[in-house]
Amino acid sequence: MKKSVIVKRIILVVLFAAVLLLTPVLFFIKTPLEQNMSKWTSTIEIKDRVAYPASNSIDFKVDKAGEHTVYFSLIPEGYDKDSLANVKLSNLGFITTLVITDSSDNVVYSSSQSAAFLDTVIYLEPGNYKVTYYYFTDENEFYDFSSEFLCSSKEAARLAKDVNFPSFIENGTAVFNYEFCCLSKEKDLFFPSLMLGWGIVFGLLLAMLLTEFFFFGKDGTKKYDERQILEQGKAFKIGFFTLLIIVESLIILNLTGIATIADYPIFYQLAVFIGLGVYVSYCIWHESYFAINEKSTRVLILFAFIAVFNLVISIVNFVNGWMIVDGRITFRVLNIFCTLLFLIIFAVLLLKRIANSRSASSDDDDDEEDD
Amino acid sequence: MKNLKLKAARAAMDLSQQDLADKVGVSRQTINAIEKGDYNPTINLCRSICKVLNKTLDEIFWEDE
Repeated sequence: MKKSVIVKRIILVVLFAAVLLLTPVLFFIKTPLEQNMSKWTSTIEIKDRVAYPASNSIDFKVDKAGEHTVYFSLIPEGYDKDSLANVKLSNLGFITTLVITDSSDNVVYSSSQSAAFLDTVIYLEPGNYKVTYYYFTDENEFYDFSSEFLCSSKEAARLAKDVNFPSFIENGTAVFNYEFCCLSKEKDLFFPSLMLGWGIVFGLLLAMLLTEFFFFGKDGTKKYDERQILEQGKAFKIGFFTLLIIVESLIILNLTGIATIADYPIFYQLAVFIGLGVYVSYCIWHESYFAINEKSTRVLILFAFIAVFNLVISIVNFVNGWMIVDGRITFRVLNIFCTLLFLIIFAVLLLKRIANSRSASSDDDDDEEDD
Repeated sequence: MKNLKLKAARAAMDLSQQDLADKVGVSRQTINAIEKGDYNPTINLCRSICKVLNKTLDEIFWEDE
């Protein structure tokens, strides 16, 4: 065995061991508790049982893309906290509906009418937004809501007529000061990003180790001849231009709002998959993917394993509902694309074998049978 | 254009494409591509092939008038 191969293998093993030993350290790195909290205040005045205004709007701004928890908190004035009607806005839906629209007045989120819980986590891109919220307009509406979601109809009737309940004071005024809170969670992404990065490094090293020891054999080197290197160059060029065209197309498509249907990195990863698929398929078809005297059977098994492995993960993701969250396609959908990529490569390999065997029989030349 | 001279010289020495490829240090598919005329080898590869087949460059790779 060559000295360089031994050195390469030692480096790989040492790196893999280092990554493995560093794993517990990751769990000591805690997610920073500090979160970005933004608050905007607003007021609704209830005068003689009539809410003014019945709905209100607050403009707010999101600086960074990510998950945002939006909720209202109530700062009551002249409010009897011991009253039976001490309804907490944040958990019982004192506000009936909230609608969030972007700067183009497109609705990005709308709670259902009479939503019982208003705390909600939504994904927001950077930009200016407006939240519009609606209040109970009269005690009848409040009765309908409370009898349906809060208590019995008898108690709801008492609640709506409760003189201590500030909303429905007869001949009086109650002022409600609301705080609309937007809890930005982009800092939480630090830990998942770290884990994702670690996972990628771990996976790459494991794959390199496996291929080095189980697929390269004793020699541990792959040698390509001049024709194969030439074809690989052509494949690289075609793959590169494919990637370039897709990425440029994505930039144009992004202007049409494509990013709202899925996490944007998915599209770039998809572009990489397609570029890779084109490169590998071209190489296979022009007999330059496998090194000199390299058997394709082991690679076929490896590709089939990767395809099946990703298919299993895809099924798990699908069953658990992790592929689409809040109406957005998540990065977990990439497992399906990975499965498709390897299935396509697998199909090209098989097609090439068939084409080779047909060519051999038509040329009446035993030499052209593929291995 | 097919390189029948190469194919004939190889057959004369009772070598398969794989045997010739092993001796020259290329893949079998490359020898196949040269014989089928799908690939023009570099001068280095031509020389290696000629050495293995005990032929000159003219005998294998020069076109007849």
